Amino acid sequence: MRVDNLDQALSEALHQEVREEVYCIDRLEERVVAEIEGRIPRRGVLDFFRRMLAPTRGARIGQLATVGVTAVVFLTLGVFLAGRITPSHQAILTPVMASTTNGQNQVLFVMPAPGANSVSVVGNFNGWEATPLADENGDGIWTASISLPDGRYEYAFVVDGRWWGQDPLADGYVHSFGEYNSVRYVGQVGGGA
Amino acid sequence: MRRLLIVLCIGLLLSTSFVLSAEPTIDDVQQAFIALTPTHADEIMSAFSLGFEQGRLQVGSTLHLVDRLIGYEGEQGNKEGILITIAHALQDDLPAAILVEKAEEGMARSVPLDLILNGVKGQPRILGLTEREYLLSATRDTLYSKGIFSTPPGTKAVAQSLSLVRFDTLVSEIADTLADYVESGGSPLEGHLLYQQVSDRLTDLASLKVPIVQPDDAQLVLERVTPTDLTSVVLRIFE
Amino acid sequence: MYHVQDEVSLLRASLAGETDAWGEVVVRYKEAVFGLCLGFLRNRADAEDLTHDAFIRAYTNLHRYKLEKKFSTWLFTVTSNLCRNRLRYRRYHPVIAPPDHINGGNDPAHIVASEDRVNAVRAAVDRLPVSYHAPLVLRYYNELSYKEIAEVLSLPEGTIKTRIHRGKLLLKKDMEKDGVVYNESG
Repeated sequence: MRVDNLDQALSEALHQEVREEVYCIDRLEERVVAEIEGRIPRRGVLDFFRRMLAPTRGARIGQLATVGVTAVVFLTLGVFLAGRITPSHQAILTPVMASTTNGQNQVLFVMPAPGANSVSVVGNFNGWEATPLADENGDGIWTASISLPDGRYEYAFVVDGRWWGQDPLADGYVHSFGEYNSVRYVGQVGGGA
Repeated sequence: MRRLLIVLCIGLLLSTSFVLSAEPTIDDVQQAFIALTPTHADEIMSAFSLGFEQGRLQVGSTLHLVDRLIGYEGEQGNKEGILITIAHALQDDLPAAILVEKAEEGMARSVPLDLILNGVKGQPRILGLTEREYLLSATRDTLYSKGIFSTPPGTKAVAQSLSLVRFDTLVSEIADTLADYVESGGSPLEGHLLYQQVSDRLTDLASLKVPIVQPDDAQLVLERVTPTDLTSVVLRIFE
Repeated sequence: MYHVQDEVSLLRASLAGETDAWGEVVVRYKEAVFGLCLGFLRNRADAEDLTHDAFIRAYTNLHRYKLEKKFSTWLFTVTSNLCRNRLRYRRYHPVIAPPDHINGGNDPAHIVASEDRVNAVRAAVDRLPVSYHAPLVLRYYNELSYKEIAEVLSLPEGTIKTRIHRGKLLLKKDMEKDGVVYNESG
């Protein structure tokens, strides 16, 4: 069979496909609007305003705006008050962790590795690049103090090229790439860093 | 003559300090993309630009990633795939920083690139960037379905809409928790365990001196998202 | 309610939270979006889902759309990104026989005499590699210019032209095997 124009045939084919299936989006606009409206919490009071007090769209918008602004004001007030009422804790300094300055915490990493030639810590606080630990007095305990803002950090130690994922000082462990990572929460209220 | 010498010295000092203090720029990132993948650089750059604008990605850490990819042993297709997956996440309006982190971690651990990208189904289970991107997307959709979403300033103020940063944090942390659960060998059917893990994560992050998650946001999620919701999200990974 | 309303007012109203206005936008664009999804995904159920999702996504991201740019281009970009995600997810979780497949499979023997040409094309499009679907559909169903297609898919215009050209070549070759031959002008 010879035919003349692929462009035309393509266009026809694609249009025919759509014609055959387009029934399924018959009242799509209703479903979309319903889902969107379901997301915006409709309080009974809004609907009441809408139906009863504001026959024109303009007035309805005006009243919706008033309710909206009032809601925002109360919400802000609530958040503000909640912040005040929450009791504050004194940070308890443990012997291992040092204090906070400018929102940065000095976090101590410790790895016992007697006889090791090099120890480093690798984690998501620096793009998974190695930060070296040092054993200044040669007692086999390697340490580094890293300044970190509050947050959750995953890391592991590398001792002479071997990865050690389970730091006893960690707050917990997770699996990653089939190995362990240690997890620390830095900036915990009530101690720990 | 002396004046000339002084001017030259000052000029030298200034130019040195300029070079030393040079921050990586978006142009540097663009050059790096072109160096790695001339064919896809435009598409990737446009997505990442959006990411930089939104504060979802940083220029410095992006450059670090691309430089590392360039020097890493592996197939060109996989290197491109990693960047394209991150680009698609950004185009899909997702907080993509965790994908950058995971790619960096994989390379730090000398993991083969195709594993970083696609994961592995055996024991131990490893999730790739593709699956992590799905988790971000499914988590975001779940939050939307529960009436938790972000609307930036300038649009109509709606009760219970969060700033982009706060919403992104919820999506990121919940998705990461689910990923951890799967990689630790947890069963997707134990919805209550999934929920407990998410609860622990959000609560821990909300209780820092400078909270990463706002306590109100954590509460909102934990009130509306159910164990069943989380099972639905995770189950698809096991299909 | 919004009988003769220009698009910009509809979009402004939608941005202000008037869901009825957005409903009208959906009515105007749903077939075009559905056609794109169907062409892209080759599967009615997925296309239906994604058409719905596209309008939800577009609504929630409407603040990101710049009113002076062409709305349809932006809407198609949102749509094609969603389709791409679905495809990538499908790639990792392959479905051997997609449900509701619009062309009932790849068997060329299904070509019915009276609709030889169109059916041959449909089956051949199914067999095309995925990366050709979107540019071809945007060109031959949604009838966008190369420039607009490039914008929707975030690809250089040159790449779009190449893909469309190659896609058509592949279609021609494929259909020749079934005895359908196109002249050079096609």
